[in-house]
Amino acid sequence: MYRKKIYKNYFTYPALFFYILLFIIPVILNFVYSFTNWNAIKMTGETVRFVGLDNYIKIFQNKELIRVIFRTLFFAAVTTFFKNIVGFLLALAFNEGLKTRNILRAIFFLPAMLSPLIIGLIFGSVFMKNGFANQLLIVLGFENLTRSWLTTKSTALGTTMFVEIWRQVGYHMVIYLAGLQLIDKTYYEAAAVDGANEMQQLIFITLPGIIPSLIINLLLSLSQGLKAFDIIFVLTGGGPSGSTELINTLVFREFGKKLYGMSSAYGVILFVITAVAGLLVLKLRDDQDE
Amino acid sequence: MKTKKRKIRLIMKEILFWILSLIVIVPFLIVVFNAFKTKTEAINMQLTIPAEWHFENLRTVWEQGDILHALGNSLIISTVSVVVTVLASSMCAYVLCRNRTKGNQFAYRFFAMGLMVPVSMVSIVKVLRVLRLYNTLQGTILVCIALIMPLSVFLYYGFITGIPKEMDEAAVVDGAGAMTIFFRVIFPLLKPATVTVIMVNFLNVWNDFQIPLYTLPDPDKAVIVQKVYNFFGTYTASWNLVSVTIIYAILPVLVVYLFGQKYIISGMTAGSVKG
Repeated sequence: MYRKKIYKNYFTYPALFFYILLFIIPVILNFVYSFTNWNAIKMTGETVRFVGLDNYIKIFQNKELIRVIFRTLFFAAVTTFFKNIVGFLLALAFNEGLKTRNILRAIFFLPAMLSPLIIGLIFGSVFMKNGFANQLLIVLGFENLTRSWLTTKSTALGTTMFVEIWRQVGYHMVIYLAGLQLIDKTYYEAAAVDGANEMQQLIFITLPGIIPSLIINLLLSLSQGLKAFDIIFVLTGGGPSGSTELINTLVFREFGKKLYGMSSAYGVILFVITAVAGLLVLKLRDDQDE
Repeated sequence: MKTKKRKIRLIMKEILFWILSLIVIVPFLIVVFNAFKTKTEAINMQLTIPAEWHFENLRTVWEQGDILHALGNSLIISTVSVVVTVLASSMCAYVLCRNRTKGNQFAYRFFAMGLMVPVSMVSIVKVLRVLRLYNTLQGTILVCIALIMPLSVFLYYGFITGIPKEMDEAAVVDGAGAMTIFFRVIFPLLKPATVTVIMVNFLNVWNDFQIPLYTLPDPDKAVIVQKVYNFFGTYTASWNLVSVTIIYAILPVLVVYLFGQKYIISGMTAGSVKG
């Protein structure tokens, strides 16, 4: 029996060891610490004391903090929407036909390869007061539209969303492309014979065919949006006056203040939201399968 | 007639998308142009060719920024964590995929969970402190390994599903241990998956900012992405020098992308289309 001979359980131990030690245990610890006042604000050193639901009560009684939670959801929803729409349209365009489609694909995919922090830095310069975005507006004759995009309250969040979408569109495009390639070409031929036009082919063949890619894209873009950190951190730091603060930037802010218990509570809230979002999308898939 | 019309439409479409691609290209051009300007010329990060190409900026930043050191730190962290992860995740995925006991099925789902949920950096720092590995390269490497493990197991698992089980039977050599059999016979078969796992993880670790931000605060141990950020903090008004650090940080990634585009894309889409 070769089964016993080569499928050794100890093969799984190293991977499990690393994963449990520095992924799972911290996630569990995070839950525990969220019920404590763990901090290091006093000179006497760190204190840890169980305070029950105090941190959560503090969070949910503060209007500004509830707003951060809804803003995070909003950020994730808007970026997910545009990443998927634009990504899908690009995939349709670059699927076949165009001669230079391979180069174009590579260009649009490039931002997904780079560090979000560095992309944030580049766009920090593009959107600064005298930066490229405003220079372009002036050249095009829209001088009245120029503003300091990242330090104006009404435009800061939208600008960070734009950068996040710009960064990830190519990634989602590539997944849609892979989905498009899996659709059997004979469907289109048969439909064309039956006299279906391009629009009908898109609705009745392409769209149902890419549902698996749509599901995975939703999962990825939602979790990316909910967990967004680097882009905000470098573009606005959560400002102006907290208008771009998301859960993950708050986690870091509280960590910086050495309020570890509070920081953990935000982490738990983010964990719950992400898990619920993931389960909802997976539920969508299961309904689809039936 | 009809084909001619179609051809023109196709050319128009091509031109349209090249114009659209400027949205991606222009920000990079801005960085490249401004990297070789003087401080005053680069103040607004304009999309103009430098009046004079100041190639000495490359050297100024290389020396002042101690770039080599930062690149070295990034390279060590990326390489070690990717190598360890490749070994651990391939072995693990192999057994999970082939020997589908209840426990192993659970372990697989346990890993898959890690693909979605957010990590808890605050508690990770605590664990590192207890292990006395906080603010060390080794500690950061351990964290990177843990965080890239789920995706790696997932990628290998998907690939191994496609290899016929008969290969395993043929691989059994009398007298050889399981380890020997795996690394002599099975592991080479996984090469396409291994290339993908290496590329994707290398980029993820190289580009990451959040892990070193929490676990590696010592500026002397800064990785290249941190270095770019710190440099930006110190030389806020010197966009020319900041642009140079950006180029240093991106260049290795571009090289990997140029040679491994196929594997990176296949890795990032693997499993995703199978549902």
